[in-house]
Amino acid sequence: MNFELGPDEELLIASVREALSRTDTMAAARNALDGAQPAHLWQEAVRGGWTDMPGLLYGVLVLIECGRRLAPTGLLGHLTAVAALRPHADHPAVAAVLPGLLDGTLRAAAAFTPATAVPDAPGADVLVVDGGVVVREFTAQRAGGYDQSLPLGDVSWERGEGFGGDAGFAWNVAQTLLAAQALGAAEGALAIAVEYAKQRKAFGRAIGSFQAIKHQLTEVLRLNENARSLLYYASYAAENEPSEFGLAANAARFAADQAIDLAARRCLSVHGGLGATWEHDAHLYFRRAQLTRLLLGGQAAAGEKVVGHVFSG
Amino acid sequence: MDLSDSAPLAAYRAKIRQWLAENRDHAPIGKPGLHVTDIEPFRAWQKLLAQAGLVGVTWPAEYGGQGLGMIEQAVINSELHRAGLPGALDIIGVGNLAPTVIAHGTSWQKDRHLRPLLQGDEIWCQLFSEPAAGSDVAGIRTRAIRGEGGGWRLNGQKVWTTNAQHAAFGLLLARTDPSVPKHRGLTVFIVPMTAAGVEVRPLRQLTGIAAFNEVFLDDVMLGDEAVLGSVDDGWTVAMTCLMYERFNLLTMLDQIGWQPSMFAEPLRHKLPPHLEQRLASVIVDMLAVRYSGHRALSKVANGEVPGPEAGLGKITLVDAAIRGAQVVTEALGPSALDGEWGYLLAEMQGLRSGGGTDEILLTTIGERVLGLPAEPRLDKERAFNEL
Ligand SMILES: Cc1cc2nc3c(=O)[nH]c(=O)nc-3n(C[C@H](O)[C@H](O)[C@H](O)COP(=O)(O)OP(=O)(O)OC[C@H]3O[C@@H](n4cnc5c(N)ncnc54)[C@H](O)[C@@H]3O)c2cc1C
Repeated sequence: MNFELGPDEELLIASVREALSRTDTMAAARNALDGAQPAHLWQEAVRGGWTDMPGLLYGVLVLIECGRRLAPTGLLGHLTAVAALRPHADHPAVAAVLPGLLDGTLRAAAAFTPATAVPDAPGADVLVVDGGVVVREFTAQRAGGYDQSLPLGDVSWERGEGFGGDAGFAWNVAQTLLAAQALGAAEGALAIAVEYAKQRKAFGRAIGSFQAIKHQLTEVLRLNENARSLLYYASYAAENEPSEFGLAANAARFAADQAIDLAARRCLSVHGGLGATWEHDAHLYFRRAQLTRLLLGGQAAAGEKVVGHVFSG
Repeated sequence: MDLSDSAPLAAYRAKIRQWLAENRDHAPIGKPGLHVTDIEPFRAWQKLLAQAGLVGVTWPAEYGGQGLGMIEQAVINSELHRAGLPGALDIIGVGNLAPTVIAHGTSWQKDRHLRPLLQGDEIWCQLFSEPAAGSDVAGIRTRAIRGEGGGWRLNGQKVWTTNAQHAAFGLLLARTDPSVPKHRGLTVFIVPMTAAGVEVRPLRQLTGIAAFNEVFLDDVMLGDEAVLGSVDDGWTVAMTCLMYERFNLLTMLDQIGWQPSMFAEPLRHKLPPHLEQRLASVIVDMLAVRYSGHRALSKVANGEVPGPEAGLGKITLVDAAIRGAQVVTEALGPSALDGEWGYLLAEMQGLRSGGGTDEILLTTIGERVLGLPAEPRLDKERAFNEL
């Protein structure tokens, strides 16, 4: 038994961090709110080989890092779509696109009907609908501008080709990856809040030495660690305990939404007046927190599924 | 990342499973939970488990243990749980106190105490907390004064002592030098609970039963062989004990035999829709405790010492259990408070203070894990008797 990260996984994380650090994604997220072209790090994803991940855990680890820096890479949609297609590689509709998706010459997104606010849909080449239909021609209308670092599209299409995929499995992958991205942002928000609490002085001492601050931040750590444990569980279950994957994925989603909600709010308040400014990064995490909890059914749908899985299991 | 057993571990698990199947008729009915009142059947069961090598598996073989790791302990816990059988009675003795004796004891102390403890013949209790010092355990006042011709005289009072009413021995923290700062003048003693001058008075708890006690020490005379570790180095010994307590927190869910679904089961087919999200949040937290436990166990198996973050699991567990019992009682109505759910609510709210309060855990973890600066302290460098 080993339920912690091994050297291969640590290596992957280090390389993702390295690659993402070449772009100031936080500044890009802010500037995009004022109309600048949002950053898109798909090319980094292709270069890093993250478009073709050997297991869900690797996708989770990459998305945690993307979330930490609010880096849009297209991978949330892409890796969900690829996971849905991969078991059906022999189906002609899948065979026509999968090699391109794996090597990154094509980019995919995954829509679940009614196909509104579909993550990573703008600019995607392939759409996988409800985990079982390949769509090659579609329009993706950019939806919402509240958090430009998480591109969304309202999608419409005429024709698609069914390949007999498993809608539930695709949904669970999407929940897991969305949760991973949210946890990354929660960890990023906690990290800058902790840094600030160590440096900022008030009443003759560092504010992090005040219990009210210390306990709030440690409470964020508790929720973050809970979400991380459940993400490992979901990654493990996806491959080893398929009957538990639904429970694990939805639990991870629920926990990650709780974590980022608290993390983003605490991050903002620990920064005092600074946290209330446009120039500071705290509100970027706050925006991400507000938006992510509404996507893919929202936190409440995940909660409903958790209870449903326990009753049916 | 892999939750499955290695081949040797799978064989170990199969052996345990078989032994439990063959011996289950000797087990007492019911779970020991966190506290038992009628202990004799559980004592006999501990002895049987110990003789089969299922207690103290992480202890060295020379003291009756198996010299195995936390993973094997976790396998036993999960197999006991799977079979619906209780584990050892003296969780505190086996899990925290004996390992402290193993770490700091003389060979005489180890030979004298460890086997009877393991077999359940002698139960142990932890005599740290006092009326004036719980969270601030280094502030204890029980005095131990060295006699002219050697030996020690103890006077003072302990409180909240779980199992003192059953215990043969207690591990006691006392002040031996009040003229130095509070953490430096402490010493740990092994106290026979039958010694003249030791008086145990049960304290009835909010659950209605008395599982913890007050312990009075009135001119209790002890020999030099009662000192565990070095004189005036009791803080080091006490910290070892608290470190082992963390080890135990890691596998808490398994040890008390709880399933993440335990608050959902009673509501099958009768969950009011408005309670669904609250139930979900309880299930999610219970699952998180389980898998955080697996992560922590893996770290220990990789040779790391468990850090204070294990305390986060206790906070989550207690909080989730209280919310879970509230959801259940809200769905089932007021009469549900009269049975196990009312008991559980009370027990859990009490447990919030046991093993470190939330505030103390959050402070420790905030400083040690997040690296936040410590609070200014008025008591650290001054002599205890000048505070
Ligand atoms: C069921 C149960 C079993 C127990 N079993 C044992 C046992 O077997 N042996 C044993 O020795 N002890 C035992 N204890 C005692 C337990 O360890 C103490 O109750 C605990 O450490 C708290 O100490 P206290 O009761 O003195 O409360 P206090 O320390 O007085 O705390 C009161 C309140 O003040 C808060 N507080 C204290 N200091 C700080 C601070 N620095 N910052 C912020 N808040 C603070 C606490 O969090 C708490 O909310 C048991 C307790 C319980 C409830």
